[in-house]
Amino acid sequence: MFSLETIAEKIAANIASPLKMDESKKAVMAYGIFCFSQVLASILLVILFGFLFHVLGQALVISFTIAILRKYSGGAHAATPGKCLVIGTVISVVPAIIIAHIPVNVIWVIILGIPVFTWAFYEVLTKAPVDSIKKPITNARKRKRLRNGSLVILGIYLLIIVVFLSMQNFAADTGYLIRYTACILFGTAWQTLTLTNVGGHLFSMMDLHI
Amino acid sequence: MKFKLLVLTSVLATLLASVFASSACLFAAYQPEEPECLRD
Repeated sequence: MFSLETIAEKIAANIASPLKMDESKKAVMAYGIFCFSQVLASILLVILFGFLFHVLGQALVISFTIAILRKYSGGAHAATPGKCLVIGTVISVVPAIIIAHIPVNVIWVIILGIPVFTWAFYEVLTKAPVDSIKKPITNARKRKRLRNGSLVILGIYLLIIVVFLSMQNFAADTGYLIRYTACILFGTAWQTLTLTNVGGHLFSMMDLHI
Repeated sequence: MKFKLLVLTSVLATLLASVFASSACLFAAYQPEEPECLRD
């Protein structure tokens, strides 16, 4: 069966053998190749479906908002790479389609933004980084660095939203700014959800049904 | 030439592994088993 993990292991084995590398170096290479291919596949799928549904920009904003915060905060995981690709694509493209077709205005963004960011800062402060069995984070300094990184990323998201909303008074066509702001809000809310137990259960349920 | 290409690929793959190891989790929502030597 097609599996990115198997392909990465085969490529690493083909490189390690002529270079006479040991098992640990081969495992590191396979990990690097797999991670790179998984990231590439995730981005390409979002680009493909975002393009097909005419929401490429919004879908990419949602995807990168989630991914950048996730790099520092961790979060719930899918059981397999394939399920991860499906969940990642759906979570980036479907909300982008919805945001593109509903009336969004500044008031709604502010009304939703305040509780979303309050919740996000609280969850990050109390839970981040949320690690997994396959990648435990036990080093206290690393945990602190990742938590601080998550807070900085949230601060940057907040700043971008404030700048976008401030530009309302100066830009001629502000509809797209509001929509991108809504995308950042959704991405932040989704990634925050994955830090909670509810998010973990949600991922488990999606794993069962995909 | 082939040998040089293999060395270059192995260096790139190792570099990528260390970059991904420094984060809490991958870009996407699946986390592969991290090699023991990359932990912490």
